[in-house]
Parts: sequence; C-alpha cells; structure tokens
Amino acid sequence: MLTVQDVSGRDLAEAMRHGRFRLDIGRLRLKIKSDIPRFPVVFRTLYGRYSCAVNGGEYDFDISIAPPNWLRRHIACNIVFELSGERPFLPVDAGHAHALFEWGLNWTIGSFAHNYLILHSAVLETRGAGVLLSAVSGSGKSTLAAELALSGWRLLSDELALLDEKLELIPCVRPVSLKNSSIDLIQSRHPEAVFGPLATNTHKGSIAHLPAPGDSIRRGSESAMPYFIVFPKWIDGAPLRMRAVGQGQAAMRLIDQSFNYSTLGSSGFQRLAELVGSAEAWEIEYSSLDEARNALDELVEHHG
Amino acid sequence: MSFANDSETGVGIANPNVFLHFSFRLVDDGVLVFDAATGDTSLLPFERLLVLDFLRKRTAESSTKDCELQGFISRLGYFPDC
Repeated sequence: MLTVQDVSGRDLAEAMRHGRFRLDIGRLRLKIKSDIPRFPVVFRTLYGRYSCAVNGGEYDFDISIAPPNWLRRHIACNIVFELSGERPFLPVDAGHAHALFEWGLNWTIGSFAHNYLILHSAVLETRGAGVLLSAVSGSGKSTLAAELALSGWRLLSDELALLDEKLELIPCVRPVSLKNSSIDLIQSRHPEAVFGPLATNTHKGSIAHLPAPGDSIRRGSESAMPYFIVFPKWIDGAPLRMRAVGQGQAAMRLIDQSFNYSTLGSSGFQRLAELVGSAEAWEIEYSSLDEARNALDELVEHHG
Repeated sequence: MSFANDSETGVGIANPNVFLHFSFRLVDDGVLVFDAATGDTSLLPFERLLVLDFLRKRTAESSTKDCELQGFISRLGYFPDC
C-alpha cells in the first residue's frame, strides 16, 4: 500500500498539480488538485500515513485548492476551495489552505454523503464501545477528542459522525482541528504530538491541526457500534458533573447537530430513534481534561 | 413501523394523512413524533391527551371529529390507558 509519506515531495506536488493525486479516507477516495507550492508540503505532515495514489483513478469527490484568478494569486495571495469546479466559499488567505481544505471537506461530506445520517460530532472508540461527542462549536468537543485520541482511544472522526443503515459508525479519520487556547493546552499535555502549521486570523481564530494517531488511521475502515452519546461542555472552573440525558432529549439535541436529518426524511428519523434507543446519552460539564477523560473511561468500563 | 390506512379496523378513513405522514417512537422520556409532511420532529410528554391534541393541531382536525385520531393512538399501543 502506497502512503503519502512514501511519495517524494516532488512527486506529490506534481501529482497534485496535474490532478493525479488520490487520497483514501476510510471509505472515501478524494481527487485533490492544487498548485499551491506549500500545500503538499504541509499535507505530508497531516496525511503522511494515509493510503494514496499518484497516477489518477476513480474518486468520490473532486477537490481543488487553488487561486481563484491571476490577480488573487499574485497580489492578494488568496485561494479558493472548489468541488467539481464549484466554489461554495469566498476566497481566503493562502496561509489558511489546510484549514480551508478541512472546512471544505466537512462541507462536502455533510452536503453529499446522504447514504449516512451525518451528525456534527466527534467519534471515538475504546474497548469496542463507540462514543459520540456531540456539541455546538466552542464546547470543547475537539479538545476532548484530541485528549482521548492521544490517550489511547481510537479516533473515528473529530467532526462528523457517519451513521449507516445498520446503525454502525463509519470512520472518517482526519486531523483534529484545534482552535486558539486549545492548541497550547494539548501541546503542553502532549509535547510529543506534532502539529501542522498555525493558521492565524481565520474566521474561527487561530487553527492548528493535530494528525490522527497512526493506529486510528490503520483501522480507518473498521466501523464501531454506538454505545454512548456524550454532550460535553467545558466551563472554566466548573466541577465535574455528569447527568443522564433522556432518549427524546438526546434525539432533539442530535437533530440540531445534524447536517442532513431533514434531507433523509423518515429514514433519518428511524435511524436517529434507533440510535437514541440503543446508546446511553450523558451530559458532562467539566473544566479539567483529566477529570473528563477519567469519567468517560469509567463510563465505558462500567456501562459498556 | 407502518401506519398506513387500515380499512378493516376503520382507522384512518377520514384523514389518511395522519396515518401516512406521522411516525412515532416511544422513548424513555416521551414520544418522538415525525411529521413527514413538514420534516419536523417533536418530543411530546408520555401522555395520550397531549399527543391527541398535537395531532389535532397538525391535521386541523376538530375535537368533535377526532375519533379516527383516537383510534389511531389506541392502535399504537404505546399508552397505558389505551
């Protein structure tokens, strides 16, 4: 199996420039095209262990990261995300290329992968139990996901829970996107972790990406059954508090965090109802990552 | 689950939309109701009259002509007083 890190920097850049590069993320295969010189360099840091191809072939999504026109390439130094030639977003600074790629890929999957019920949620697995961490942006979901992933839990996704018709969680293992103070926090707790470059002054503040652990990438095609739905909320100085959430309340919260619930109609309802009927739902408030991690470990150990 | 018309029991004759467009699921803290016509999902308390009232409003059914709705809810079998 060819991985990104097996490909020389020059060959990777050439394959991306000419649209021959393919990246495998779990069950998805992406065509990624870019002639931004720095993009493939950083890409190797974040996706080095992923299976790939450099001689073309079939793909699910056609993605391009490129300057929108000559003026923006040379004067404004802007880039734009394209999916099959369409540009759903405004141009951004060229230094935000990797953040734009991740945002664009989230949008792509959320907008088109309707064979899955897609929830805005991190997904991890430990001891055979799939755990969804579902929360609005700013609740500390990704920080907690990074902490768990760096503590031995298997990462399935930092951002998207993909639930298939058999109620299995399908991995979509990608780098964890950390924002602002979370970056320093995770770096200080895990100094061995290697991050991608810092993208500053994005519309979400400063962004850095933590590559997914190698074991999670290797097991990127292994689904997991959902045992727990956790609604995390980080509150500065708050003591640890865990509270069971009723199935109906859990369903309503997950609907709010779904990308395609209304698109799927009754099949989405049936899938969601089965999810909340089969997985325990919990709310956790915390200020200490150690306490939160230990609490979730105990939850899986005692109830899983 | 299927809630299509059931002519044998007489349920759903007056307002078949109720049976074709609502899906229900009993959960531990209430009843999830999915309205396929609007795509809305609601969480109702586990109480027969409240579910009945909800369906009346959604289907613009008058309270004097809701025998079909009552029959429908009874057929669900979810409610202890049914």
